[in-house]
Amino acid sequence: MSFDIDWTKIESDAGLNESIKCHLNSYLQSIDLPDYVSHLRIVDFSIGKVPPNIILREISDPLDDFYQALNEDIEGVEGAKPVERNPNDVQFLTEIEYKGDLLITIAADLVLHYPTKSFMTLPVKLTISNIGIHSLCLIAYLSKQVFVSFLCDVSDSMLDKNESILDTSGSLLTPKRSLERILILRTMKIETEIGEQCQGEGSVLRSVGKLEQFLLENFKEVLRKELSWPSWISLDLSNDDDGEDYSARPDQPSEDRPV
Amino acid sequence: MSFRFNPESFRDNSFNEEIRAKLTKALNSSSGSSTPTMVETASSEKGAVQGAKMAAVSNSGSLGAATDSESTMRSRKLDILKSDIIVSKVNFPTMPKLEILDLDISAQPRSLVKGICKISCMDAMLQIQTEIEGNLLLVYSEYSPEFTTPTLNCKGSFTIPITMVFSGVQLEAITNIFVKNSGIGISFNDVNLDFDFNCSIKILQSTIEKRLKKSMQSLFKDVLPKVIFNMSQSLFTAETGSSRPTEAASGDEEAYSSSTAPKVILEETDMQELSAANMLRLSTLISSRQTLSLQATVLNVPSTIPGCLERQNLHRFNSRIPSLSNYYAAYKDPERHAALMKRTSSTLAIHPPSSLRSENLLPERVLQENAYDLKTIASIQSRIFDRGADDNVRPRRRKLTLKRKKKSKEEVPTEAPDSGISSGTDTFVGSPEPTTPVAEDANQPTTETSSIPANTMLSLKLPTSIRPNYLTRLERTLLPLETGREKATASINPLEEPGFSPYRPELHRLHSSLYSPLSRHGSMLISSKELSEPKQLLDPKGLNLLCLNRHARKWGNEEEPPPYQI
Repeated sequence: MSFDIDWTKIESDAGLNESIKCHLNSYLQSIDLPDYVSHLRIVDFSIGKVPPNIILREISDPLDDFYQALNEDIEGVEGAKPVERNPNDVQFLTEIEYKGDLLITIAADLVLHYPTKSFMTLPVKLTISNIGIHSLCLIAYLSKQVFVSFLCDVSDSMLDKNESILDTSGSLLTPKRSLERILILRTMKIETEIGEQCQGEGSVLRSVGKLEQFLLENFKEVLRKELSWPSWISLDLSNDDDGEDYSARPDQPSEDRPV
Repeated sequence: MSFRFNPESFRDNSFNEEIRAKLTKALNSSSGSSTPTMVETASSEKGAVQGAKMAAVSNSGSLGAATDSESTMRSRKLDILKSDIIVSKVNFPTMPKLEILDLDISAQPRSLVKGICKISCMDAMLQIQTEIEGNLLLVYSEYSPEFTTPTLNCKGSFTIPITMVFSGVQLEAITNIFVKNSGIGISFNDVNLDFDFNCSIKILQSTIEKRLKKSMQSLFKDVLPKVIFNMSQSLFTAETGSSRPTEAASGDEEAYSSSTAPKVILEETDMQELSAANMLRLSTLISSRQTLSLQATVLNVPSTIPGCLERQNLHRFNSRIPSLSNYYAAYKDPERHAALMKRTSSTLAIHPPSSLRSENLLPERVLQENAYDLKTIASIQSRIFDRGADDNVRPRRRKLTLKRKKKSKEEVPTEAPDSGISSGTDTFVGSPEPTTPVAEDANQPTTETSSIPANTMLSLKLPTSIRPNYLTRLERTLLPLETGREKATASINPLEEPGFSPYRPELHRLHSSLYSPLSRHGSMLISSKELSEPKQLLDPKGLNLLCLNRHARKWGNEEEPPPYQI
């Protein structure tokens, strides 16, 4: 069963990109940054013309792991009852596929507060595009919590392109872990821009390959650590019924919204 | 300009004042010895203060030069300074410029960032004042043994104030900056320095200036890089003061104290390179040759040693590692597979194509044909997680309350879901080598031909033809290959699963079938996952625990949450 997403409506909405940008920017302003980063902002946002493809594969009872984890969580807590299966518990297995043209440009200033406050700044700009995801995602509801976890990647002829052997900076020659459990982000392009021209003087450093790779790896690693099975994120609904707040997960692209 | 400087700090005089105060403090804390001066000075900010730094160092050099010129006693420090050195004026009328020309982030842990920067600084000005003793005989006699000192007629002190002005300091330099775990390395490549020097004592001006310019080269080549490295080291290792050099080379303006030799810092990565399991396997290999047995050469070739794996057989292990690709091998896209096989034959000698590395993908066809089993997938994924390289890493299971505030984000200690594993394990598809018809033997030379890949593919893709009992045996013997070190570690390794030894005969049988690359099916090896990356087949948890546990220091610590906040 597939979700039918009428992307043309989103696409034709001219103000949408702008409003998402504003929303994200206001969120970025609300978070505390380390003092060497300032002015973190989204300069450009475009949701793209290609919709995500979401297929509901299975509706079933939640996996035992969720119950185990919950019960281990409350182990030793006095008076806590073990979590048991409830007829209302449910688990969705969805196949999420996104190969769209989402584009985000993030800018920030790296600041050096020495010898005087904000003495030297280095503007940095990152453009993120070409995001490719094709994974199975588990969404489970039990014990008033929603669990989200990416279970595994699905093979995809478009995303599993063979790397060129001649590319010496590619991942072919870099030391690799034994077996990557999951990537989630199969492709993603980061373009960097460091520095700023001032009155036509000076140079801007563009496309720092190693830096782009470094950022990409770190970004993937975070996703893998936090969101891939057997890790998961649980959203606790027990306190309020305001509905879900998706900005709680800023590192997630927008396509998993129809949770 | 690549870096932006805050114009505010240049507009008012606060920045100049700040630098002035820092320089004054630095120049006086040393009481005449040049080294700490430079260390202190170097702690000024790297780009903008470069000019000032340079001036300060050259200044201390100039004093040394003056001392030298007026005394023949190099070995003893003659203090002709009668008062503190006062930096009376510092001025940066124009903003310095710092441009990044290139940036490189290295994958190696030792050197994190390498950058090439251009530093330029115009019209900087520095004025310093002090008082010197004009009566040099007096200075001399104070530092000499009494019996060599003649009776002096004029013993009075004659203090002369001296002002030195460095104006129009223009500095342009290309620098390489390395940021490492242990500190910041910097080298100045193309230094262009010019300044006007003005001394209130005109008779000394040309002498001091000459000596200053002479010492410039060593300043940029040796002194500044050393100073910056040492300074940054103390920052990186968070040891303040104690490591800082306090003794200076005496009198010699160019000598730098040898006590500032960089510290040796043992890095985690040093440990990482020595895998305990590998060391053990190597020693097994070596000891296997240390024998007087006549049959030793037959019995103890690497392939018969338990736990030793020849590289050309590696792919078989990879093909049995519990991964989605292996489990659903029958569903792999045949066309793509064939294409890869073809490629392999041509590129084999160079690098394995990336797709022949073991990857962990659920074949799309499995989904399309609804052939998947959720629990199996989950248990395979959990299992891969468990055998991952990092010890003591638990799954992250964060809990977010949906009111934009974090309720708790503790890590839930979770055991591996054992229940799921066994079922997943026993059904893994092994490479069905022994069932391959012997008939192939005749027309398959050990060098590969184009016809071979197709055969292999067939055999790889037919897991259904394998008898279940065969599979279980294979599966059991997959891990027990480690039993070679079982004896050595059994007593000390609490994590080793028991029950491997009963399988020894089987193990031996497996070896004879699995480990001889020149057997009749040897040619098949090349076709599928030849030359793949070595995998961490044998779980090093037990050994790491005992000797080389690089996480020992972090034991029980929870990792920090990522920078984002809800």
